Amino acid sequence: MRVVGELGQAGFAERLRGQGLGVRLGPFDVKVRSGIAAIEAPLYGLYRDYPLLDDERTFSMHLQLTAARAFPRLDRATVRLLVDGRAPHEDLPRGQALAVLEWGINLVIALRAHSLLMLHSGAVERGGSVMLFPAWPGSGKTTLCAALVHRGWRLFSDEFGLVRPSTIEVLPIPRPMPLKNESIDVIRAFAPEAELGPAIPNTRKGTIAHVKVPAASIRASAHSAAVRWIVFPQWVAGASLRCEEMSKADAFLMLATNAFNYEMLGEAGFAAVHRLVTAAACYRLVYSDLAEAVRLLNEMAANDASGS
Amino acid sequence: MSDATAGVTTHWRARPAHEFVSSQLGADYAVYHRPSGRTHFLNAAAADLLERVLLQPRTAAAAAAELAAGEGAPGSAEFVAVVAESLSRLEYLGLIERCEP
Repeated sequence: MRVVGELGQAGFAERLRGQGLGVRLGPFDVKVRSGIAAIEAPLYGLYRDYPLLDDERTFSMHLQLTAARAFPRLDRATVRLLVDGRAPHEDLPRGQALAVLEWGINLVIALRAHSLLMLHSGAVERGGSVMLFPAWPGSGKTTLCAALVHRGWRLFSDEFGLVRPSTIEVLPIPRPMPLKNESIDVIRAFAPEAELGPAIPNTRKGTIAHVKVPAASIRASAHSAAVRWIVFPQWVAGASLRCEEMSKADAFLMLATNAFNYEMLGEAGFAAVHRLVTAAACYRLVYSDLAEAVRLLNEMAANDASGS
Repeated sequence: MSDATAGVTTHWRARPAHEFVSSQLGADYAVYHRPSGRTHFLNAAAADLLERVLLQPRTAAAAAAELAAGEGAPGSAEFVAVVAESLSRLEYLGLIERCEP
């Protein structure tokens, strides 16, 4: 299958401005159009390794970014996101266009992918087994994922744990990872080889910079894997590293609460969460030092692999 | 949840088994209630009420006596009061109902 990079940056920009860019993001086929020139180069950098799709297909979603003006402050340049031709939220500052597109893709997945149990969770894989990081924003799951994928883990997602309800299989949807605020420099120091997009200041989440997904994770994004560990992370400034096994009941409660669509799935959601927490080892991780946490998680994976 | 209308002669029974799915998670139980689509967490005693003791109509005192016997422990007025409280809670969740003796 062709990859986006084969278009070259000029061809990529031409697609965005014209017919639209068809790209495969895990289980979703996405068409993107954009009239915002400033995002073309960073978007190409982040997306050059993704499978390029032709137009002869049904896309899961059509997203478009268009230039707009704030009303009545017409001097303020804004960007409008259209999903299948409709704006799902208000226009946002144009300088945030790249983040708006990424948030938009997340929004559409969260609103539509109800054939899957959708956990609000990071997910990485090593040795054929998936480690989930279910957590609310600010818990450090994106930072953990960004660090681990630069230490030999495969990225499934920093945002979605997409579980087939009748299995414990997770579907990869590796997408650029939006680091926030201090995490940007933390990852720059931890993994100097990481490719980051531009810093986008003053968003609703502070300053954001997206980490490019390693090409190997994108190339393997058709391959699902089973969950082996569920780790609920919590970054706490100054905290000593702590990783405690959780009771299955606590893990069930936290996982069900964390899912985007647990109640919508009804009994299938109940069965899916039960299957996950009984099959996986469940832990609560508190950390402040990223390198320590990564070391511990690497050891956990290595010990399990040697014990299996 | 206490209920002043639940007197000592009130009988209770579990809702039909097809209305819920129960799964043991260590010492606790997760129960999916099909009519409401809600998930509830029960301790072992509440699960025992639902899955064994209240398959037949029971008063709070009779249910408490069966639970206590299952544990090999003597019942007490205090224990009956705790069980009565649990019965009201299970009724509120839609897992049990009042019935004729």
